[in-house]
Amino acid sequence: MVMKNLTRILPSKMFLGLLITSTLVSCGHKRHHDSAATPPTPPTPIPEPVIDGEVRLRGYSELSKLIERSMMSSNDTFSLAGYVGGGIDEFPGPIGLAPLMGYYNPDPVNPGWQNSSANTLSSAVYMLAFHDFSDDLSQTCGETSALEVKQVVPNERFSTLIKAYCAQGTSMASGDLRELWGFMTAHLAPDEDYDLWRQDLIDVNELPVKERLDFLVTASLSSPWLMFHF
Amino acid sequence: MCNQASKQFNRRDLVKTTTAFSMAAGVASFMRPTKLFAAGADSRESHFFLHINITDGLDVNYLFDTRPLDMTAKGLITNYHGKDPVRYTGKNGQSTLRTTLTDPLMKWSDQFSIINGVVMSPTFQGHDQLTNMLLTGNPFGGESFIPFNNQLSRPLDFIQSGRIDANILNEGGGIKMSPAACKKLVDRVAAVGGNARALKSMHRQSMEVAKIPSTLGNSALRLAASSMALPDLAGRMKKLQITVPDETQQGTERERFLASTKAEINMVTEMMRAGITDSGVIAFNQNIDSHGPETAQALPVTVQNIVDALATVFEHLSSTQSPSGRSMLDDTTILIGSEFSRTMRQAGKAIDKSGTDHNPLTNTLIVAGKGIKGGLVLGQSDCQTAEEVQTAAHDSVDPSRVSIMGRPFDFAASVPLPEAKPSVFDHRQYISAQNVVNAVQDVLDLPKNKRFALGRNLPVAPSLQALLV
Repeated sequence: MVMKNLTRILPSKMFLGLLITSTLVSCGHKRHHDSAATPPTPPTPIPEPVIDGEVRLRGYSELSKLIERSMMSSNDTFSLAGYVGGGIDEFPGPIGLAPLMGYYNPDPVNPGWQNSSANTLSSAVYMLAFHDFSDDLSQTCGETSALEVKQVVPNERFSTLIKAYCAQGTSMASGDLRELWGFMTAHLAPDEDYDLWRQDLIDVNELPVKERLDFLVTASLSSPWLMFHF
Repeated sequence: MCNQASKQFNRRDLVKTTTAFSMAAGVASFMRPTKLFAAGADSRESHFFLHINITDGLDVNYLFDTRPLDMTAKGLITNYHGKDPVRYTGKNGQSTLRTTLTDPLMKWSDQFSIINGVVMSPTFQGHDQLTNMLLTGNPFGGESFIPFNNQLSRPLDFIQSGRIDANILNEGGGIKMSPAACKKLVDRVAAVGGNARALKSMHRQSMEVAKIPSTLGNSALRLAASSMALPDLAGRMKKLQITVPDETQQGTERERFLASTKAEINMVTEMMRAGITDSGVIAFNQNIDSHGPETAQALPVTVQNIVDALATVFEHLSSTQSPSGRSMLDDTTILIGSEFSRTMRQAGKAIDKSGTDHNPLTNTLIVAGKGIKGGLVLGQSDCQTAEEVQTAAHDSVDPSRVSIMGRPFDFAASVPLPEAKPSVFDHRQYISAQNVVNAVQDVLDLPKNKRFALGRNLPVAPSLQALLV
């Protein structure tokens, strides 16, 4: 019963609440069965685990700026929202999907990062954007894209590294692979994350170039270090 | 043993526990959209919420709070419908005059209750301010009562079609889109849901960050959970039947509005039935801001379209099955309303050439569905006849006497007080939007600390108990 309940919910405050409730309920049942043998004792207070705050998703506008600064040519304007477009995000600015994806509200009364705790759908929309971005980027490696127009203009060094990755996967020069990691994570992820990132890439080395690139982009950009403003 | 485990509980254990359970449960079954308050492990007690927001201020004189034509003949109130209203008496013995424009809704009159004489605000008059008041209980905006970002809805807090101008701070868990955009999104999410390798990596990275006791760690935990639930979401989205009106088809404005409404309510209920959301918002963006005489003169047609669209919503809900096996109308709590009503006329203009301005002193809200006692008429507004003398309280907030205003209400007996003649306006004596919304919050079992106050430095508005089953 406890197991079933736990597998149904988000591991957030609700999760914690239910975890505690379930624990208490289980304890309560046990005490009930034992009540004939021993008198009930007051429940021991359970220390409340504190998860009392979250940070907000950067939103595709701010994430786009990070990508632009890290990976794109200096005169290229990059927009993840452009990939999400196609009639899905039909309302520009903070009306359409922006509240879901996260955005900075400059409102003088309530300025700041608003809305957008990560949820399943925002994750899905980010994955759509990352997928199309990687598709676009694959043209750098001479692959055919489903997109009508190539939008990305990678900076020279990033372009070189991407081409090396397309050609050699993680067999590319180790220094270059580490440098690519820096580009892909906009230099925001801590060093100790590198080995796991590299291991993830090794696991997909056998995939076709486009799929590898899709994985590289999605796995790198979906890092919490990039996704959240903190 | 339980106590021992409790004593040792810490955040690192939670992360480990979460990982263990998610692995044990598998990707597809982790975080199914079951409410926290579900009665049993395998039961799903369906309870949805639908808000229909008729934007721009609807003149309720054309709905369920009408005045006799002789008041128009005497130059007191515009009425471009030109037909005498009919009396409608609710199950509670209270009555009101309604226009025949509302006929298409009467089929469901046992299902909904009418609240007339709702005082939105004695001071604020702006569209945004009063929309904020209705949705957040504050003219400057804030957190909406609509179950955004709480346990009522998972994985999507709400879906909204149409435009609502309000300053809502907690709407990030939902999406606003037309059925056409929704269909595109659904199709694409359904397709992308299979990228299992990337999701696995996303989950792994997030869980690493989640180990850091911080706000970032908390969010990473949520991101990890989201990545695990994504294939399940995609799977359910594959089954959705989102219909899109044929935009190329010629038709009248009315036909396009009704076709659009049908597609919108279908979108909302499809998302609800699939367990993707429990809340829906549909905004009717029709031309009803009738300051100009042309817009006012067109109101009978416009309101008829709105009523027909509402009837379309009721028809769809009553003929669509909820996951519980009942109808969606049985399982959905519904709140219908606009931000305010209109003044009786504009000063200095002939009664047959007058528009109407904003009137926040009265409004009509309609509530229906699960948890709501249907068939009632609650509240009443003043200026029922040409001879009626307005109270001093009314004069204090409407010195030009162009507005109808709610009457004082006996909350204990749930009856209006037409004999009361207060000399000073006291919001607590009148039905406010906050009273109605708090009743809806009761029905939805939302957290008690979210109930709306009557205003700054005023107490929480008592919920309108007569509405509750």
